Amino acid sequence: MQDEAILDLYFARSERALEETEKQYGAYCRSVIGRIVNPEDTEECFNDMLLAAWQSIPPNRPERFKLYLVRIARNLAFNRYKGKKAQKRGSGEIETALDELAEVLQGHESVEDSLIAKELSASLQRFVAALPERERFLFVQRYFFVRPVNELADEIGVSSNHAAVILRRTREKLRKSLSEEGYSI
Amino acid sequence: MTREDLFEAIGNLKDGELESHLENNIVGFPKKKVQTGRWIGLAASVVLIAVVALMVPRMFRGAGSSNSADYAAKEAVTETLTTAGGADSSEMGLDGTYWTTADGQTEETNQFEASGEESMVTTTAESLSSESAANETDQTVETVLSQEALEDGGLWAYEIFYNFFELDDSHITAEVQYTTEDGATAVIDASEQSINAVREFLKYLSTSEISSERGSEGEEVQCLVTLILEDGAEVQLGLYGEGRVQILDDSVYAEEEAFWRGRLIEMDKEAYERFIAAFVAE
Repeated sequence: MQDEAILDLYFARSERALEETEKQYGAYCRSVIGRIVNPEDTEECFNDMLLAAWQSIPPNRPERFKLYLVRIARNLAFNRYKGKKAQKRGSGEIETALDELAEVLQGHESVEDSLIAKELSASLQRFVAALPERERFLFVQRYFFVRPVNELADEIGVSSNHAAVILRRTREKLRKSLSEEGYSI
Repeated sequence: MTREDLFEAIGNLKDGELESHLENNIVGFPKKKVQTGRWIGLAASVVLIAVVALMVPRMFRGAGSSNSADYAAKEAVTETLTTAGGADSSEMGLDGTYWTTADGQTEETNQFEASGEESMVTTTAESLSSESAANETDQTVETVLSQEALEDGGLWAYEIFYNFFELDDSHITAEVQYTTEDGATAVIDASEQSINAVREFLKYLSTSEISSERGSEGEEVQCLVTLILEDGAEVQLGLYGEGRVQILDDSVYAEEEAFWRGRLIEMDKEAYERFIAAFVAE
C-alpha cells in the first residue's frame, strides 16, 4: 500500500492504518530502534512509535511518512536508552556511536536551554549540508541511523578502517565548526 | 554540551537532508574495485620510496659489536658503499659514525643520495672523504630492483595511500636512507629486505588507529620514514622508542590543514620489534 493510502487510513481513524504501517515499515523501524535499545525494549518502543503516529496523524500529514516514523522511532528509542542508561547499557552500536560523538566535545555540561539546543540543530544542519557527499552519507548513516561502520564501509566500497578514518576526520571538522560558531565544547 | 545533546541535535536534521539516506533510497556509491591488471600496471610504474633516516642510533654504535642488528645494518651499508664506490668490501668498514675507505681514510660526513625512477633506484656516491671524493664522486651505479619486490612494496604503499590516506593514482617512489647519530647519511639501495620491512611497517599502520592525540615535542626520533609521491607530496612518519609512531608532516593534506600532523599511532612492542627485526634481518 502506498503512503498516501496509509495516511488516508489514519485520517479515517481506521486501525488498519497501524497494520499497514507495520507491514510496510515494521522491519525497518525495528532495525533502527534495535541499534539504540536492547532487544527486549525494541518491541515496546515500536508499539510506542505506532501510538505516537496514531496520536499525531491527524492533524499532521507527513510528506515523507517513512522518515516521519523513523524520526519518532529514533527519538523514542533514545529517550528509553537515556532512561535506562543508569541501570543498563544500550546495545553496543549506540554506545559506540555516542562515544565517538563525545570526541567532538570537551565538556559534559548538558544543554538545558532549548534555544541553544535549537541553534545547535541549525548549526548541525548547516554542517551536514556542507559536507561532501560521501562524508555526509557516512555521518548521517552513522549518527542518525546508528548503522555499524563495517556495514557502511561495505556500502561505499572501502575498508572499515578507511570508513572509520573518514568519520573521525568528519568529527574533527564538526568540532572545529562548532567551536568556530562559539559553542562551548 | 554532552554527547547525548549532540546525538539529539543530529536527530533534528531536516527531512530533506535525511530522505536520500533512508534505506532503498540510497544512491549507490561507485565502489573502488581495483582490478588485478590495474594493480600490476600501477605496480610496474610505482616505485616505493621510503626514506628511513635517523635510524636507530644503536645500530651504528660501536664497531665490532656482536649485536646482530648492528652487524646486518653495517653489512648493508658496506655493501652499498662497495657498490657505489667500486672498492673491495674487505677494504672498507664502518667505525662508529666514520667510514673507512679503501685507502684507509676516514670521513665523518659520508653521504649518498638516491633517486627513484620507474623500476630502478639510482645510487650516487657524493662524498666519501676529502681525498677519495675526487675519485668517487659522480660514480653512479644503477641497481634494478626485482620486479617482485617493487610490486610487493609498491602495492602496499599504493594501497595505504589509496585506502588509508585516500590518494588516488599517485605514484610513490622509494629509497632507504640511514642517518647516523651525527647526521651523516648513507643510502642503501632499496633491497628486497628493506622493501619488505617498509611494507610490513605500512601494513601495520594501515590497521592501526591514529589517535587524536598529538605527540610531545622534543622527543628524539629514532627512525624517520618519508613516503614521497610522484608529485613531490610527502608524508613523514617518525618512529620513536617503544614503537610510538607520529605523523610529522603531511603536505599531502595541506587543504585539510594538516589534520594528520602530530597525530600518534601506537604500535605495540611486539610489532615494533618485528619492524626493526624485519628491517635489519637478512
